[in-house]
Amino acid sequence: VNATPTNMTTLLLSEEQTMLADSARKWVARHGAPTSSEAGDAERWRSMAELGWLALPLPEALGGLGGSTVDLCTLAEALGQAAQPTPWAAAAVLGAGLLAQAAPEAVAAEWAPLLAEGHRRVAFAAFEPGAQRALSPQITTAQRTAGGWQLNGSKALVLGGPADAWLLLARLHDRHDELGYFLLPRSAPGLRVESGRLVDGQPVCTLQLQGVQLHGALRTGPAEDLLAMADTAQARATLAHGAELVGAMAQALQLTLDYLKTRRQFGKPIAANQVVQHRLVDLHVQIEEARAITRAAAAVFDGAALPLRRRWCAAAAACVAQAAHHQWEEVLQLHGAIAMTQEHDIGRYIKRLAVGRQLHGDAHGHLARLADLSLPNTD
Amino acid sequence: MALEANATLFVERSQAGERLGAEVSMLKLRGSRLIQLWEELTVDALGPEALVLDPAALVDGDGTHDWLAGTASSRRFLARGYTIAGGSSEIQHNILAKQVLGL
Repeated sequence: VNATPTNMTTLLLSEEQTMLADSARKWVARHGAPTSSEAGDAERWRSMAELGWLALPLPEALGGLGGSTVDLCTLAEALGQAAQPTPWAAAAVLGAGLLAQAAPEAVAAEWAPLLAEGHRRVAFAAFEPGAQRALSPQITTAQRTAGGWQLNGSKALVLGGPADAWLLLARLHDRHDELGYFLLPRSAPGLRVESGRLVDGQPVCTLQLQGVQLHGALRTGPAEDLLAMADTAQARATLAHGAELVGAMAQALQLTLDYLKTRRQFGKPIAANQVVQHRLVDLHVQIEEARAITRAAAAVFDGAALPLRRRWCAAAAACVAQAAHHQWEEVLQLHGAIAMTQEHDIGRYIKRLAVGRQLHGDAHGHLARLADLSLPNTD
Repeated sequence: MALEANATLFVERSQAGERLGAEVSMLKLRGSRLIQLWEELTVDALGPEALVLDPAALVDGDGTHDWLAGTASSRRFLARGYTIAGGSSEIQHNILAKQVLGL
C-alpha cells in the first residue's frame, strides 16, 4: 500500500513523449477549430490516423504502436487543450483497445489495420440506461439460436462518435454466471441508433436492440473474467479522459489569465487585484497536482500489481473530477458575464469541464472506491 | 497522493538537472494545508473526547514538554503554525502569482 509510483518508474516524460506532446499541440493549433460537424470529425479522424495516433493504443502484435499508458495520456492532455469533440480517447483508446483484447486473434488481426488507418471506428457501449457506470449488463441479453445469437436490450450514453460497430457485453440467456462480448455492426437489423450530443458538443448515442441476429460472439466466459477485461480497458480510458481534462483546464486557465490581464475595471487590470491573483494561484496549483497524479497513475498502470494500480487510478480520477468541477465554476466567475455568452471561447472549456467532471465518474464515486481499496474491510 | 506525485515530479526534475524556481512554493502551500486538514480530521473523528485536556500526554519521558505528542486538540492548534511559519500561505500565494503566473 505504501509503494509509490517512483519506486518503479519515472514521472518525467521521455524525449519521444515530449515530441509527441509537441506535435499534438501543433495539430491542435491547426485542427482545434470548434466545429462539431460530421465532416469536421471525419477530417480530424483521418489526420489522426496519418499521424499514427489511432495505432498508438493498439498492441504491436496486431501492427499497432503499442503505446504505454503514459504515451496515451501525454497525447490526450495535448488534445484536451482544444476541447474539441473528436472522441479519440473513447474510440481509439477504449473501443479499439478493448476490441483488440476481447476479440479472437483472427478477428482482432482483421480489424486492427482498419482501426489504425481510420477506415473503421469501434466504440464500447459500456453502460445501460439508468445503471450509472455499472459495467455488468443487466438488461442486455444474448440467446443462442440455430444461426448464432439473438440480442435484446439497450445501451446508453455511448461515446466515441460515428462508429461503424459497437462492442458490448451481454448476459447469456442460458447461463447466469456467464457473459459474452459481441460486435454489433451499425447495419445490423433490429438495431436502432439514437444519436445526439452532450451539452459540450460531444457525440453520444443510445442503442436499442430488438431481436438483433449475429452469427457469432467475440468471446463468452465467466462474468468475472469478462468484466475484469472491461474494467481494465475502462480504467485506462478514464485516465486518458482525465488527461484530456487536465489539458482543457490548463488551456481554460490560460484564457482566463489572458483575459484578466487585459480587461480593466476601476482603473486597473482585473488581475492586479490580490484577491483575484490568489484565486488564480489556487487554480494553477490544482491543475499541477491533477497533472502529476494522472501521470503517476499512468506510470503505474502498465506494470504495477492490480491493487496499487486501482488505488492510483481511483485517486487520480477523484482528483481530476474535483478539479474540473472547481475550475469551471471559478473560470466562469473570474471571466464574469462574458463567460455566459457564446462569443468567448472560454464557454467551450466551461462546458467540457462541467461535463467531464461527471461523465467519467464523479469525485464521490471515485473517492468511495479509493476508500474501499485503501481501508481495511470493516464489514 | 496528488501532493506526493507533484513533489515526486519536482524532485525528479531537480535530479535531472533542472533548476527549480518559485514554483516549488506550491508544495509548502499545499503540504501545510494537508497537515491541518489531517489534524482537523483526527479531532472530528475522535468527537468530543478530543477536547479533554490530558496533561500527562504533554510531558515527555524526560520530563520536558513534548507538544507534538499532545492531545489531538493541541496538535490541531499547533498545526495552524504550518501556514504561518516559513512564509505564510498568503506570501506563498503572492510568490506564485508574481513569479509563476506573471501577475
